[in-house]
Amino acid sequence: MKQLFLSLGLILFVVPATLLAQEDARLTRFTTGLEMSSGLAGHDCCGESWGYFRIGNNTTYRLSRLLSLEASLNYLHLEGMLLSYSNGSQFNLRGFQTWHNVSLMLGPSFHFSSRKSREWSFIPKAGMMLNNMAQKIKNNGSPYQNRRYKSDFLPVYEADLRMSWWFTDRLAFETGVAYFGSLQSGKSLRTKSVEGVPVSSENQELPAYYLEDISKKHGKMFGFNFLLGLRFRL
Amino acid sequence: MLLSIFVVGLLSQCPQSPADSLIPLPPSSGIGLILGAQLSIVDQESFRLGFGPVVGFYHFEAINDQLAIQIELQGKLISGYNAVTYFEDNTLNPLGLSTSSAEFHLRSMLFLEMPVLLKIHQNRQARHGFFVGARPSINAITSHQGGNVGISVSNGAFPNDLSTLSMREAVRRFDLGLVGGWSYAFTRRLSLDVRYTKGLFDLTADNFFKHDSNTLNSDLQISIRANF
Repeated sequence: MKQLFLSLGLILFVVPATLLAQEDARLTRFTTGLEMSSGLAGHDCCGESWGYFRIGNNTTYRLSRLLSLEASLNYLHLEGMLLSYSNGSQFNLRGFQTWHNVSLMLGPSFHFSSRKSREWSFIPKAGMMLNNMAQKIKNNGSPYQNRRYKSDFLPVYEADLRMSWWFTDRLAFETGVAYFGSLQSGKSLRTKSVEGVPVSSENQELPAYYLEDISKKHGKMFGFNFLLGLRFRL
Repeated sequence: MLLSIFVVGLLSQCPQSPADSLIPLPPSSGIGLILGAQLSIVDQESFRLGFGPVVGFYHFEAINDQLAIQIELQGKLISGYNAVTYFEDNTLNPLGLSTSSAEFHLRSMLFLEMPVLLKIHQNRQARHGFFVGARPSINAITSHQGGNVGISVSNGAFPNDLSTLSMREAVRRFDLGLVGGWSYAFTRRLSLDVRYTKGLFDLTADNFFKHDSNTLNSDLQISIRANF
């Protein structure tokens, strides 16, 4: 895994930075872009989710007029509400889950020129996502427990349809849509820390079952994004 | 790492000339794209910050060599609010207790903003500029607005129906802020913008959320702007 990330890091950062460091002003085969996206997203552990966005950088190397190789690094944020638990009076537990994830993906980019200076690209990608999540559990609206989990790598995939409009030789405006998803992993969640009220002994069974249930699996995430970006030819 | 490669990308757009040189004469009017990020104070008491993206478009029009008017239309998403409120109504009689409850969590908001700015440059080719202005905004809640409502009737007497409560009524729909900031032009088409916006109104109704702290739409933004 480390080798994969090192290789992709090399493609994303080191090679373009080295090329830029050269004083030769000729255009290279590399382009790098900044993109932001948001839209509909969900997770199979949450009945409702919100606050979804991604901020990312991608670098492409042009192999031919129709084909490039693209690597992308994205930060992803999502929040959601877990299933709740209530026993009528003492416990009315509601859990909120927050993800701060980083994904690294690689894939081919197929280009189709529609008009001069405008280009459509279809980019299927796959890679790994560092799943970094935390849960805040409230009881009748008051803080009950904060749970943090150790980060784990999950496999992810994405398909982008992107339009680039080159309004100078070096600078393009980009827009498009993307579908993003993570695959079910066999890994179970590993607790990093638990803060807050411990489960009381006389009511241990049912809240404990709830807490155990929400801390079992990473689950699957998906997002349908609308994106805006800028691309620079290096 | 992400920032470093992006800054290198931006620097590649600069002409091969001293950093304080003038840029080629920029257009006197045009439209452009905004891509950026912002930090907002989502909890005044603990000074907790929320991070989120800012995207939008802008139109600028030069008034003369020193002044320009810029109107922007931008959206920003802020997560991390932690405003919680809980309502409960009980009806007790010899047959038992009936209870209704409603719980609301404000966690995330979407702001559609339209800053109107006056930009000041030494001249139109200057790299540095300053701006001030006002920022009206429309505020939308992205998380569950109706809350989580429950009712339990065990004595034949119904408590008050709390399902008519809505968080939407307790969050201000319109807001106004004051903006001040600085911009730096990399080229005639590409610039960096740093600004602070101070929200003027409390967004959350204190009698609904049962607190007296202010939730303001104030933020520090950094963005890249490209005009077409």
